[in-house]
Parts: sequence; C-alpha cells; structure tokens
Amino acid sequence: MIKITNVTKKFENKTVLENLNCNIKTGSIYGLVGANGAGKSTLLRIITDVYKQDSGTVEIDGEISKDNEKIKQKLVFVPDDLFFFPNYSLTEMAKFYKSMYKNFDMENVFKLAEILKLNTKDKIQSFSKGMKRQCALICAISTNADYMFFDETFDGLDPVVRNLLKNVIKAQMEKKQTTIIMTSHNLRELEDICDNLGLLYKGGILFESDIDTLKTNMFKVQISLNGEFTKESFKSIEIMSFKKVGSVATIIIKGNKEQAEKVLKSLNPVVLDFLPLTLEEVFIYEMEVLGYEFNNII
Amino acid sequence: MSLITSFNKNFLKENLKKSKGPVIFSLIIIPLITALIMIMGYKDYSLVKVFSWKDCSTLNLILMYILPFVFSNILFGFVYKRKSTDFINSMPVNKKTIFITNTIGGILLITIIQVLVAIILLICNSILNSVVILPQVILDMFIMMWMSYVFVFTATNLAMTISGTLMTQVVITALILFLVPICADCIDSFNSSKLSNNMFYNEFSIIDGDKEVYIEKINHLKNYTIPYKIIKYIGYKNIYSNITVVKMAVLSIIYFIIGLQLFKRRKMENCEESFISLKEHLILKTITLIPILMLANIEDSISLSIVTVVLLALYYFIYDLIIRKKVPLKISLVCFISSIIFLQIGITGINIAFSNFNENTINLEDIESVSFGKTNNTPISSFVSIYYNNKYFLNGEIYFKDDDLIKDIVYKNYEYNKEYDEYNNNYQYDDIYNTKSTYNYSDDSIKYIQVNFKLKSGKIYSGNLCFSVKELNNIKNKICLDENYFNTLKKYITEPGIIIINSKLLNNKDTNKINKILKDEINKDNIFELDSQTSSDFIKKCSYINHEIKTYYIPIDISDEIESIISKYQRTRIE
Repeated sequence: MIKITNVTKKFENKTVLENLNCNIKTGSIYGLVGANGAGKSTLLRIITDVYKQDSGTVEIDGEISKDNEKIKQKLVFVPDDLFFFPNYSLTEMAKFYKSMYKNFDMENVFKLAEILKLNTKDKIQSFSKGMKRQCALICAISTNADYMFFDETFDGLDPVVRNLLKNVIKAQMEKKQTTIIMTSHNLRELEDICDNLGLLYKGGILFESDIDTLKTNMFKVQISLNGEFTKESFKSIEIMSFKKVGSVATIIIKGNKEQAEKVLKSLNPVVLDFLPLTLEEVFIYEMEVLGYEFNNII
Repeated sequence: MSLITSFNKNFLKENLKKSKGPVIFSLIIIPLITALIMIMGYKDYSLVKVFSWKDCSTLNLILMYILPFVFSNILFGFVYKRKSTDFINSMPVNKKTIFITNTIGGILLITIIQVLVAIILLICNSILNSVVILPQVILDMFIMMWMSYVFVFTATNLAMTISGTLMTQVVITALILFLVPICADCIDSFNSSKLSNNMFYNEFSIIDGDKEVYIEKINHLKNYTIPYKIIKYIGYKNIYSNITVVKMAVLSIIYFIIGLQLFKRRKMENCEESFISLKEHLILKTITLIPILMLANIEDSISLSIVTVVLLALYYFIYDLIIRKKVPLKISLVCFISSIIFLQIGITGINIAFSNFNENTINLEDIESVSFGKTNNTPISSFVSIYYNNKYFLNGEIYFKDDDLIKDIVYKNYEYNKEYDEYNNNYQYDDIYNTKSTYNYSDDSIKYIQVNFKLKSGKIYSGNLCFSVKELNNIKNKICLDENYFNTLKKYITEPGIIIINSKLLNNKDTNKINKILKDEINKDNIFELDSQTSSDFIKKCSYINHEIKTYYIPIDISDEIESIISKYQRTRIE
C-alpha cells in the first residue's frame, strides 16, 4: 500500500502540491487525472524518490521510500518524457535494467518484444514514439516490480497500440498482484483500465473513488411522461441533473438502479431508456455537486 | 566500511559502458601521446637528456584541467537533463551509492591513466638510449599527477552538486580551484614593499649604519595546490612539494565529504538552468568578480581601474548569455553597481590593513646565515652560475653561519658599489680621450656570485654581489673547513645517481665503479686539492635529491682506472 500524508512541494514561489493525502491500495490500478500543471508528474516523482517533498511523508508497505534502496527495488517509473542511453538497443537497455533490478526477467523482454513486433537489436533512437513507449513498458513490466508508475504513457498513442499496451498490463496484473498508478489528463484513457480514480486539483486530491462505485451509483435515463412534467415530478429519487428538450427529459440519477427503475415505471412513462454513463460524465456531475465546473478543472 | 557497502559495481559498469568511447579515448590519450613524443623526439637524439618529473608531464599537466572534468560529466552528467535525471534517480539505487560509486569510478580511471603513463616512461627509459628517467622521478610524477587529478575531480564533483548546467559547473569549479589562492596571492602582494608592487620582484637593501647593499627578496615557492601552482610558477622546473600533495589530499577528502552531503540533498528538479533561484545566480556571479578586482588592486592605477570596470561590466552581462539565465536588465544593473562598490570597499580595506611600508630594509644583525650559488627558489632567468671556476663547492642550498664573513661581504660590496658609482660619474664628465677613472678593473678581476642571506625569521634574500678572486678563495677555504657544510656537500656528491661522461650515459656497472671512486676520494678528503681546469676532466653526475634533479660537475684526478672507463665512452655509443 502507498500512503501519502500531508505532502507539500514547491518550485521556487509556486506551490504544486499542498498537504496532499492519498492512499493507494495494493493490487489496484489507480488513475490520477488532472489538468496540465496540476502536479500529477510531480507526485509520481515524489513517490518514486526522484524529487524530495518539502514536507510530509510517503510510505510504501509501511516504510519511508526516501533513499530506500530496498523499497525502490519494488518500484519502477516510466516518465512522460522517455530516456534511453544513446545508441542502445532494447536488449542493451534491458541489460541495464537487469543490473539494477534483482527480479528482472530477461525472457519476458524477448517474449513481449515478439508480441509487440519489436526488433530487440535495433537502436531505440530509430524507433517511432509509440515504439519507444512500448520499449519503456517492456522494460518496466519485466522488472516484476510491485508498484509501477506510468506518467501519461498512453497519451498521444494510436488506439491499436494503446490497446496492445493495455492488454500487456492486464496480463501482468493477472500474473502478479501489481499496483499500477497511471496519470493522464484524459479520463477516457483511464476508463477502461483503472479501477480507482483520483482527481488532482490545485495541489490536492479533490475527489477519488473506485470506478465501479462511481458507475453503478449513477446512471442516465431518458424519459417522457404523458402530459407536462418537471423535475418536481421525480421528487422521490436523487436527481443530479435534469435537462428537458421538448417532451423528453434526460435525467442523471444517483442511487440504487433497481429502486429508481421501479419508481420511474410507476409513473407510466411513454419513453424510458437507461443509457450508459461515461466516466467523464460521472465526474462532471460529481464536480458540479461540489461546486466546480469540471471543464475548468481538466 | 560504509564506502565499500555503498559501492555498486553494476551501476558503475553500466554508467561507464554508456560512454565507452569517451572513456577509452580519455584513458589512452595521455599515455599514447607521451609515448609518441618520447619515441619521435628522442629515438635518434644523440645527447643524453635527464628528465625531471615536469619534463615528463607536460601533456599530463595540461589535461589535468580537462580530463577530471570529462570524467565527472561522464559519471554525473545525467543531473543536467530532466529525462536522464528522472531515469537514473528512479532506479533502485540511492544518492549516496550513486555519489560514492561514481567518485570511486573516477578515481579508478585516473589511476589507470597515471599507471599507464608510468609504465610508458619506464619502457622509454629502458629502450631509448638518450633518455634517462630516474625511478624516483617516475614515482614523484605518479604521486603528484594522481593527487592533482583526484583533487580537480573532487572539486568538479562538488561543483556539480550545486550546479544546474555544465557551464555553471565550470564556473564553480574554477572558483573552488583558484579563488582562494588568487586572493591569498593578492593579499600577499599588498603586504609587499611599496617600492615595487610586482608580485615577483621586490627590491630590498641590507643596511648597517651608512652602509647599504641592494638585494632582492626571494619568494619561496608557496605550497599552493598544483592547478594554481603550475600557472603561477610556470617557469620553474621543480614545484614538487610533500606539503602540496598532503594539502590536495586533505582538500580532496573535504570536497568529497561536502559533495556527498550536498548531493544527497540536491534538488533534482534543478537542471537545465544554472540555478532555480535568481538570488543564487546573482551571488555566484558576484563572487566571480572578486579575483579580477583583487588583481586590479595590486597596481595603483586609475586607468587600469577604469579598464577593469568596463571589462567587468561587459563580462557581467555576457555571463548571463553564456550561462543562459534570463535576468532583467534593471536587476543586473543594480547588482553590478552595488557589487562593484561593496567589493571595492572591501578590497581597499584589505589592502590598507595588509600593506606594510616598512619592509624594504634589512638590518645586518638580522641575518643568520649565508649561502653561495643558485638556490632552488629562483626562477630560470636567474643570472647566477653555480659553477664558479667549475668547482662544485658553491651550493646555494647549504647555508653556513659566520657573522664576520657576512659583515665582510656587505661592507666590501658597499665599497665596490661606491667605487663603481664614482667611476661612472667621472667617466661621464671627462673627455673621452682623457678618462680619469678611479676604479681599475685590471689588477684584480671581479666575479659576480649569487649570495643568499637567510634571516633569523627564515626569510631569504638574494643579491648578485661582487667578489675578487682572492676573496672567493678565502670564502672557499672557510666553508670547506666548516664541518656541516662539507658533510652536506659530501652527501650530495655521493648520493646514488647516473654518471655522464662526454655526453654519454654510463652503464650501471661503470656508474657504480665511478660512484665508488668518488666516495673513496671524498673520504680521503683529497678532492679539494685537485685543480684541474679542463672540462674533459669533469664528471657530470645527476642525482635526485629533495625531489629535484641535481646536476654536478665534479673534477677528479684522471687515474688509470678512470681513464679506461672514459675511453670506452669516447669511441663507442652506449649499449
């Protein structure tokens, strides 16, 4: 488990993180979302001991991670801006990782390279952006680390490559109970892989929840009743949003779906459709409840 | 113990592997070029050359300012780029391990270079007939160069811990190596006689009542660290000093300890910019002004001061362009003007505090002892010949005490100078065909010998003084009777060394024979009775004494045994 307590980080006069608290459960895939400059990358760098926080603590499995080689053996970090040694091939990079990480699996490198159709002997600097990301991911996964940190790893990749990489990560999760922390400024990127999400805003975690709870607790309904109807007609259920266009209303309901369905059917609707809610929509409505314009946050 | 446990062999191996080209090139360049210079320069050289450690180290000394810096960047250069710093710092290796491993790695590379150079020199000594490099010379060179390289390396690493860019590291390294010695030198020159403020020349006079003789102060070679010492004493052959080596060792350890602590606390986000904080950048820039202002204050010259300020202004603004730090013009201007004013006030205060106007005279009674001949403290441009009449007894390093002799020398020289001045005055005013000279040079030839006066305080002053042949012989007789002087001289002559006859180097067997003869002859105390005047009756001996090549021409009686040895080298080259 990763426990972050009251972490503050300033760069000159600018406070990037302020009294940030967050707990990340072991075995989860945690998505950290926030606008550009929100502090996502800084937080990852603090957890992986690249940067030092000005105050607060970061504990991993009950130990302070700062300058702790034993804990760092359990972590691997793939930054947004990738680095490879000049003129190194994937094999040579993997050898470097092998010299650093005790549990590094060289066989896995070749296996994954074959799946992703990468030549392990070619120089990485000749690869495309997507291929370089794949190399970084292969090396990171092959470390068999308990905690993997991916900073905007999937942003900007084409859907085919993105899917491939997500499958690779899922396969790793099945193999070993790894905790993955991913950042993005795009909720859609995280939606189909993460099971927990946190929203970083103005130096702190504004909102976090597991995705299942978010999605099952909230749903979208399109309904039309005989005669005139307003929001007041649905007093018995918790409505997050009510929008009526003509005779059809789109309602965002929070609560138990079966109960809500029962109530709505009792009104003898002309039209009643339950529609899928995207994560972005869930966030939008949750933020509105908190008094924030979601579009101003992301 | 902590150093060993913190050393990560794998990390070092990978760190060097990524830059194997520059590493290999750096390791071989000095040994390779040294070998090429020795072979190409001396393969067919006919005269025997005895190398001092400085002769063997020209390239080594030049690259002392560059190679440690190159190694520091190979090993620690990752801190200057965001991408590489993220990568390395996220690895399961902590900062203490990184610093210790890389420091040990750099020292290993330096050791390899110096060992290779020593091996090359040993090989050249064996295979090149005209080259003589004594083993003690190679050892001294190894110690001095290894320590110098390690010293510069630890200084560059210390600079790296607080720098955000390579250029900033260069500036801070230069300050670490040169700021204190330059300031110390400048303060020392403020302290010197105001008759002449030159750092290397100071005119003094010995006085006793109305008698006065002009001499110079000998500036001892100070025990600065080698990077500065080489520049300051550029013409000097022998700058080896155990104190210098120890000083560099101690400073290297201090720099390592401080560097380790700073590296552990280093903010890794400080990269690609000289300093994150504008304040730190301005402080560093201001410190770089100090050495130039100190140097400019040695001379009391308004025009020099104006030129200095103008140059410093240019430098102050160009510095930001080189370091690539954006500083608003107004802030730069205000900082520059206030820095110049406050620094100048400070330096003027130091100048006044340390200036001493009274040191240009020496009382005769303060002189403790005297020596004759060149000392190892004088620059190459010294006008003195140690080989007066090709006798070896004059040795500027051996002092001996005789108050009467000292007084005699000063008084006699006062008289000589007085007569010389009168002669000049008369010569000037007389008809050129009717010169009424009162000074007659023809009766008694006058010789000039360097005389070194050591005061009770330990300071040494030297003068090029006159002696007649008769006076010199008297001095010779006196000092030969001095037990201490004679024993020291004996020790010098019988010190193990190489022998050169007719520009040919003797082989080991013949060298040992000659050395034995010399030892036997000196023990019989009969060598002083020999009065041979021809140069063919002199043996050239080179020994390594007090970390310096000493060359002596020793007159000997040509016995049958010696003649048989000499004749071998007149007709044949050395095997």
